[in-house]
Amino acid sequence: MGRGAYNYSRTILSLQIPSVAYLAATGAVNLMLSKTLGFACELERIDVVTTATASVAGSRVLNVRRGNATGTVVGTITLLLASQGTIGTVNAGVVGEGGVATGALPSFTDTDTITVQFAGSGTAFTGGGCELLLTLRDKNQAAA
Amino acid sequence: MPRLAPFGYSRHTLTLTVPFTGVLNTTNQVNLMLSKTVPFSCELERIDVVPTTVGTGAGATRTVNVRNGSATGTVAGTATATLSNQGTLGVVTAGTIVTAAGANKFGSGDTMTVEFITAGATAFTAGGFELILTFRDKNQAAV
Repeated sequence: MGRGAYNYSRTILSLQIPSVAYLAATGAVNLMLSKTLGFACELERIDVVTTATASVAGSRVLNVRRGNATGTVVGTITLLLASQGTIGTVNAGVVGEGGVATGALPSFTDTDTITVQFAGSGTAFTGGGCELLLTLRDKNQAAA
Repeated sequence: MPRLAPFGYSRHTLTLTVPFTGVLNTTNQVNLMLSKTVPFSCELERIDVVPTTVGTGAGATRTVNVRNGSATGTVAGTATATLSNQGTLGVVTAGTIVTAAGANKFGSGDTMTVEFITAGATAFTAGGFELILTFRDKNQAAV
């Protein structure tokens, strides 16, 4: 691990994903819409941790967007029964502009907003539940 | 964007899940988190409420205070969940930070309480949200 006085600190923004309206559904739905972050940062990781097992096969795509519900996708993860069948299982998503891992991390300015959205279509789960963990990294910056 | 500053702030978020039962379905005073020790100096910078279950209930409203100290500590910030702002999943409602007299500043070893208050409360009949607190802190020694 590299260390340096002018390097990054990290924070993890967590969001609970309930079954009702999210996993047990197929439509597009926003888990968090246009939240202002208030500080410049980069999205470094997306992880989903299973907290309740799903009993019927499903498939739901979750996108992290810069901006609102039509903003640029900067990360994505697909939830499948295989990943939602055991409590505690961690699944990592893909981080990158357009939802493609390119090596360069997507950046947010302090006035950008962030949206977490389940895409339309998919297949509904029965039951299930998970925790979304977004790892953000930022450098020291002024108050505003 | 804020200028990068070697001796500036880094930011951290703390998310608490606010359940329906025991919190939103009552008008009682409820501590969601009571006197948690904050082992580093920081400032409360933002409060956001993000509904994950659609809120229902005529006139429903619940106010949550973030306090420096116990359930009677100084209010550092506040947010109110209402029938109106809990009606659409994911829509973010920002709260208010109290900066007067440094109310939003926590010293190393201070405690923090997140409390739903009785005043003005009307119970929800359904609902649930994520409470996201954003803090800023400067690099500091371990202890």
